[in-house]
Amino acid sequence: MDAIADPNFKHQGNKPGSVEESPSLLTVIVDITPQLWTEFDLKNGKKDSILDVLKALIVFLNAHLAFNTSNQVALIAAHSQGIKYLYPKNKADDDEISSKNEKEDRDLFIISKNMYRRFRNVDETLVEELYMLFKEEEQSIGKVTQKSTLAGGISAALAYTDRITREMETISLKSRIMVLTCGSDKGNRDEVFQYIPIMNCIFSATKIKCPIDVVKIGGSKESTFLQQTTDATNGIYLHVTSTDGLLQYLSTAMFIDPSLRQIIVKPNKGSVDFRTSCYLTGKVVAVGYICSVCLCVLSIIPPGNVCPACDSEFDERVIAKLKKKPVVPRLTKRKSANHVSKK
Amino acid sequence: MSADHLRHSVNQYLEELPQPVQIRLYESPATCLAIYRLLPQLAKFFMMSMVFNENFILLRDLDRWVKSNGKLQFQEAIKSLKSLHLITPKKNENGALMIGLNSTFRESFKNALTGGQVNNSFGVVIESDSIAMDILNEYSSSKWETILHFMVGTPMASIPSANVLNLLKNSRLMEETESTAEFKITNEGFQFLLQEANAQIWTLLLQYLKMAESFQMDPVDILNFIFMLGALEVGKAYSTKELSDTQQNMLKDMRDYGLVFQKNADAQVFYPTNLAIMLTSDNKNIHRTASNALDSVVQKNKEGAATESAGTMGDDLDDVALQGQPIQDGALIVETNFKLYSYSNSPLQIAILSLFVHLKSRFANMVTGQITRESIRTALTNGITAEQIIAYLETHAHPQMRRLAEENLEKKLELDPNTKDTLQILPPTVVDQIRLWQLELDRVICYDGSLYSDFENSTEFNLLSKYAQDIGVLLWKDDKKRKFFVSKEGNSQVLDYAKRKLNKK
Amino acid sequence: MAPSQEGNDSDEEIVNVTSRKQRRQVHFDNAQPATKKRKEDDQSQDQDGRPSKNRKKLKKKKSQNNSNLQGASGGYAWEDEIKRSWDLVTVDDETDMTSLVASLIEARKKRAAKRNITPYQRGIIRTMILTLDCSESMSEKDLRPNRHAMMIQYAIDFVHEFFDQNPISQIGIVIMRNGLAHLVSQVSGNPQDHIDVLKKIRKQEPKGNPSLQNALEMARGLLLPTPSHCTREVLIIFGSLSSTDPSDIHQTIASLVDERIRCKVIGLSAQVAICKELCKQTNYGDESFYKVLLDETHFKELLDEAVVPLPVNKVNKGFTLVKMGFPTRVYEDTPTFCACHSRLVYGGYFCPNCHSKVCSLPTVCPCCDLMLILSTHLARSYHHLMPLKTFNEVDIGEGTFPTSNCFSCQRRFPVLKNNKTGKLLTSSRYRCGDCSQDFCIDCDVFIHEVLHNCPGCESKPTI
Repeated sequence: MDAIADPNFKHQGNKPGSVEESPSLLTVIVDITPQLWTEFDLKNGKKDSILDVLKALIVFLNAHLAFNTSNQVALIAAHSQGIKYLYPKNKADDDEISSKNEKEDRDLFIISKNMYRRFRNVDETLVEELYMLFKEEEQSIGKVTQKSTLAGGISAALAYTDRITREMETISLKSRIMVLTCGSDKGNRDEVFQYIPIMNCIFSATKIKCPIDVVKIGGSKESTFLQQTTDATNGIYLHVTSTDGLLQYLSTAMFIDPSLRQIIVKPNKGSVDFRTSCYLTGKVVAVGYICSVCLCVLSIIPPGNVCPACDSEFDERVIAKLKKKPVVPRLTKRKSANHVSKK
Repeated sequence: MSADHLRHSVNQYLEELPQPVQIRLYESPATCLAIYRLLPQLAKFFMMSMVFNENFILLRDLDRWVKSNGKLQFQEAIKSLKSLHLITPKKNENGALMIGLNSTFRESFKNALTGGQVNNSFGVVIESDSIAMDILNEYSSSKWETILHFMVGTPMASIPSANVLNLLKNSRLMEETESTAEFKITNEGFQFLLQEANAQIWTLLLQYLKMAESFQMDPVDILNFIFMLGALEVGKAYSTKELSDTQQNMLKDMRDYGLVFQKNADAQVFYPTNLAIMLTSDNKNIHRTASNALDSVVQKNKEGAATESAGTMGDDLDDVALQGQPIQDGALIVETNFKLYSYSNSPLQIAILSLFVHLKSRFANMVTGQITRESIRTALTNGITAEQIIAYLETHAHPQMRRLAEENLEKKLELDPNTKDTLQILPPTVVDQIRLWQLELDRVICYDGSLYSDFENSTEFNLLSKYAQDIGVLLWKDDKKRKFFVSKEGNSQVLDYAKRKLNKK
Repeated sequence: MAPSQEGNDSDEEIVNVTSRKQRRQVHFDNAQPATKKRKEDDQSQDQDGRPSKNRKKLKKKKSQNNSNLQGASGGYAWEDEIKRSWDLVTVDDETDMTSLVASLIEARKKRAAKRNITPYQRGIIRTMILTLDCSESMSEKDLRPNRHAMMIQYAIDFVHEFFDQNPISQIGIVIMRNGLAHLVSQVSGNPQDHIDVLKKIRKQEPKGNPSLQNALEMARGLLLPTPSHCTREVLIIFGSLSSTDPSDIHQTIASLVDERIRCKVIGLSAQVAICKELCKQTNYGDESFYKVLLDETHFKELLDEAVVPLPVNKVNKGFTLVKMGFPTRVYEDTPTFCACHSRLVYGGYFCPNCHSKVCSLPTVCPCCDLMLILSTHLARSYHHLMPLKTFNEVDIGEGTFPTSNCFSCQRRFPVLKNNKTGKLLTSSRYRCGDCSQDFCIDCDVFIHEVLHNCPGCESKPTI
């Protein structure tokens, strides 16, 4: 299908003049891997930028809840050791936690007591869970982290979205997913392992018509996979260099409700990098060869006529054909060359 | 449809308030939140982008956000923002139009979102006190249903309080017959019954506001209280101490409508009911009518363990607004043969249906009936319009019907992507027929006007009738009998003309 | 028909009194494969003999119908006392019906989620000729509204699904009508073209007889130029019970085998010997490629099966490198013509080889014949190559589990108990073998059918 090239959201049978007021679900996946954020802090000479981000995020979630009475939110944290739902809270854990630490009131000081109840319910749970999470993180400092857990977060968010839309079938709930991540300067080595999972997420998101928006803070400007994600799902990609004024970005560019997507110009610009790299040389490929069995991309014909990824042996004749250089007829033999071509 | 109507009527009331009153309203964060939610989608988006931005922005820039197919919504959004004085226009040095958010509103709304200084506008919870949900639900349902039942005229014991009766009378939903001093439902009353619950409550509350003005009560206080009620959490106790005197007085009236519950008349706490929550949730998805909501709650309590799967589904969602079963009670199915099935037990629901349906039989959880010419005609003569009936049927349609309609539409779109067809939840035959029945009643249309006759000759007749036709006031003419009829508005013109022309001769 | 069969079938007969299709299939399957095969052979060779054969067939059908109408007591079925399906269900008041039903539903979903997960080497780059029967027999109304309409509808869904899962493959569409094979849609990788054509066919009345041989010959011709790395497949939806062929169809089958063209047939009415033969021959003796549908949902399932790429057979080896271009996308302020449709469009993709502009991908560059794709298209096929492991249902055990909520969607696992014994009917937990996280049934289905990612494994920090 053309879903990638041509987001299939375009024809949603919307009549001009009526934007349907349907509630929506916003699932936010926030990458709170400490390593990334400390790196970011060091570079910008600031402290605790993650807290700024989380504060902005809480207000942003409130804003989403304010948008429509039946709007819903969910927040998933992708941390160094896995993923965790910050909201809605896992009901069963509830009892254990409350008995364990008797609601640490001092951590909830930033949540006003007299806030609108729905905001407060969400915010309190959030802050509480975050506090727990940071404690856990403290203990897991020495543990190995080989890859980011973001893809897991997006996968879970999709499953959650799928469930909520199924449950709310009667009220045509729309949904979107927002990914908030911190960029790292140190290459995108870990992204390699995420390629397939992220791609799978893209396809499922297009299938359940759920746009994925991405906010990337700091780091290099391009985040190929995430950019492709937004492009394919009709989402919005936003790169900000610092956490200053993050809330303003969130409340404008990231605040486009699914029901408004048809009439609002997306703040996306520039082109998306769709190129791939060669399996062997790692170079970007424009014209390349693909193994017909495992679909790995190669920029050269591999030595030994064996696919480096799946070990299947290639057909000699076809390889020979591919290796054949174009024949350039010599100028002196122009006549005979013409003759041949006529035949 | 009726949700829009409600939004419209509330907005209209707010828009008509004088600007100083509006500004005072914006001092309460809870009110700001509620007003924000009443705005059109696009306006909400613009507002949000301006809340955290202190500077004025170019109107042109906002315009650029919107694609060409959304210009209509853009105009609508800007218009509603302007009329509520939420945005203040300003010209910059180049003469371009800039707009900024009303500063009072910005502050309060910001506070609402961030939980800054909200000044108890979201109520003061008393954590130690709480109340069982079913008491609340029972209370609000009995109060509200009493009002509705009274209107439908179900014979029963309880009569709503004098306050309520007064309100009903003033809003002309019911009128007192002079001879017997009995209350009789009016045409508006019938229309009122077909509305959704929150629209009904708002209709009453708007009327309440109008009445309150005559008692010198401050509309800001009242509105703040109403919007606050909508933002509270069911099942929690709220202190009355923080309320102003006006609001304290209101509490009593609200109790009569079933919006709040108090254990006794001068208790220090009050409990909002889910009717109150409905005030600011204008969505079709909550509960279609009060009786549905209440029914489903009662049902839920009864069934308890049996519907455990549905229960677990519900209790995972902690939000206040969505505590209900996914499928509404009272859902109805209309067949192409004009038969109607409604899954409801509520006498109120049945009474309302019987306004325009010839009900045939009643089962354990369902009533069946037939939509007939007579039944529709009775409804029409009662002042209910065909559109209202159709809207009622549509909003109460069983999810199954809705799904079927959606599937059909999808199929049609596949066959012909340019099809103009819209979602048809009800069988088109039924919808058309109901409309036709209405047209039947409108076969005779009365016009005020004058008949011209007894012309001396045909030239005179032709001269005048042609003139009348040219200026577009001719309603009917008969060449043979030399008579024609012009409308009231055009009469003087034709008369003048006749005098000028005929006297000359 | 043998009387013994009647005895066997009598129970089923009562239950399935309404399902005409199913019944018919039952008796045809049991009927006489041998005689039918002979009949088919006769028919394909000798067209002149058709009228008499036809009559004979009709007679046979009638007599079968008669025996089928016989009810349990030996009289006609409608003379029996009506037994409603719900009367047959006995309610055990001790078991809670709701939880029982819930567990049954779960079991059913689980069955649906069971997929073939053996990682085969599959032929990802496919060329398929979709052959549709548009003969008179398609106007039968045993599928609603009729066979033709339903087939077209499903074919459209199939094309969507096919390109969704196999973005770098190609399809061509051939219809069998009036004894001829018509090529209605050229072999191409653009789903929209095919769908437009199918929508056009929907309006045509089915007519005449089908000719399998003509259709197969045409498919052969169409598949001839496909390169060796592509699979060559023919999918036939066949509604009639006979084929009108100009010459010996077995020769055609033999040449199909030679050219490694694999055929799959979905029969709409009853098993036809020649189709079975065709599938067996072209699939290296595997008979499972010929299926006759039981009902509408089964039809859909059969088509869905055809979406998954076939495993590469040892015999059918064609590993090779394919040259492909990965174009870059451009945005333009002024529209320019695209090379593929000659339409004015804003932006598009530039072929890295010859720099001509195309408006959609994947496609073959109209200028230099290079296959143009996006890397994302390749990724779309990955899950065929690396299928996700199936989750295993957690044993009921003592009834205590490590988690009470689904890992991915946070839904609380339902507790489905037998009211009498208090024993759990099912644990409702499905565990991924790698990350040992538990998922609910809905997530399990979603993860395996849509997502193809295990959220648990993806959120592990280590590889």
